[in-house]
Amino acid sequence: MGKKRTCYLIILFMAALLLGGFQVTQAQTNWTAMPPYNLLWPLWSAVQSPANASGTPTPIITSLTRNTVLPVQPCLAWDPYWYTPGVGLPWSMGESPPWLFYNTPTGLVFFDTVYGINSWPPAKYVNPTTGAPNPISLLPGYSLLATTPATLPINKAEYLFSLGNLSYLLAYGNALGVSPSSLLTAAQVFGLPAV
Amino acid sequence: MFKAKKSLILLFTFVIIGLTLPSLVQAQAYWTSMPPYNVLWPLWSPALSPGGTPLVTSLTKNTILPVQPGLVWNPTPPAGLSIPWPIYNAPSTLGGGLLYFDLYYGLNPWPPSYMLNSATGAPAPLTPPVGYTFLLPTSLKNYGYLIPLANSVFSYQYGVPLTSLLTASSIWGLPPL
Repeated sequence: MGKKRTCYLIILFMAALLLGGFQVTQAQTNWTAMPPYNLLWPLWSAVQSPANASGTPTPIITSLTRNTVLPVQPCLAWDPYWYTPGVGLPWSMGESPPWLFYNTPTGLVFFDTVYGINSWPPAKYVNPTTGAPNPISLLPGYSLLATTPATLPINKAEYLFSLGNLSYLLAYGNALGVSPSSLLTAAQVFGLPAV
Repeated sequence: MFKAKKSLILLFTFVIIGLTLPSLVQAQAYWTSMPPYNVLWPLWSPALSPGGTPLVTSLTKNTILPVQPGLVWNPTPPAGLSIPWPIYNAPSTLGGGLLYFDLYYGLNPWPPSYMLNSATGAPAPLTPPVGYTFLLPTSLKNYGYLIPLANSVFSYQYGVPLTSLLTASSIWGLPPL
């Protein structure tokens, strides 16, 4: 009788661990790799990855190429290794600010705080001989990297949206007739409550 | 005999130190003071000091920058709280002249009034701190947003194409994308 009870207790304990573990894993899946360059797409942003019928965050696009048309803009994506190699580069792995993507009639452009607005993708992601995508090799655990709002004290990305949107409007948007109010704010992408 | 050998070694050591020290000091010279106001000009920027030589020899309200923005720094507080200033040429159609962007004060004509003698209007140059040339280069990590912000404000106010302005990557000499 006592042995049976112990067995039940162990099974119950393991089931609880398993369920709890699933929940923890689910809660920590912050990013998904977006083909063809394996840039990280934020699953933590409801506007960029709304929940599907079963409640799973699902990216609003399936790939991020030069010809992708974003349903909303800007969209945030991240290369956590961008500034790692080289001497004198400012951020360590996982600290670099993310990029903002915008539509133009000639293809996607992206805003980087240091490099400004440029056509997508950067040369680093393209095989110089074949022109084929040269995807990022993501390390295990990339999906668990901290969300952008969580890393704000490091990368100061609270300035990113105001600057990215302003730069896009000045470089392209105004000429294209894009309304400034149509651009997403940091609060909308981060899912902050309305003011 | 032993004493002579020891002296020779000592002499040799001094010669080596004497030869290497100047090159070490040279490598650490990050800033130069720019007349007539003695603001610091970045020798560490390949775009603003190609080959270690500043693009301009003085910084007055009539100086024309070959590229913009330039970047200067007043390291003596409280001015600008030691945040560097991106500087720009106003378009000649709008009167020309040099402008500087301060995070707190926005875009204004060069120079700041405190660098002018209030009675005569003559330059009242700063006194840079001792060893100013060795002050560390501006941290891109801390001021990465300064250049895009200043560029956007300047582009918006003066109608200069944003894409014609240097990015932080050019000023800091980072490899291309």
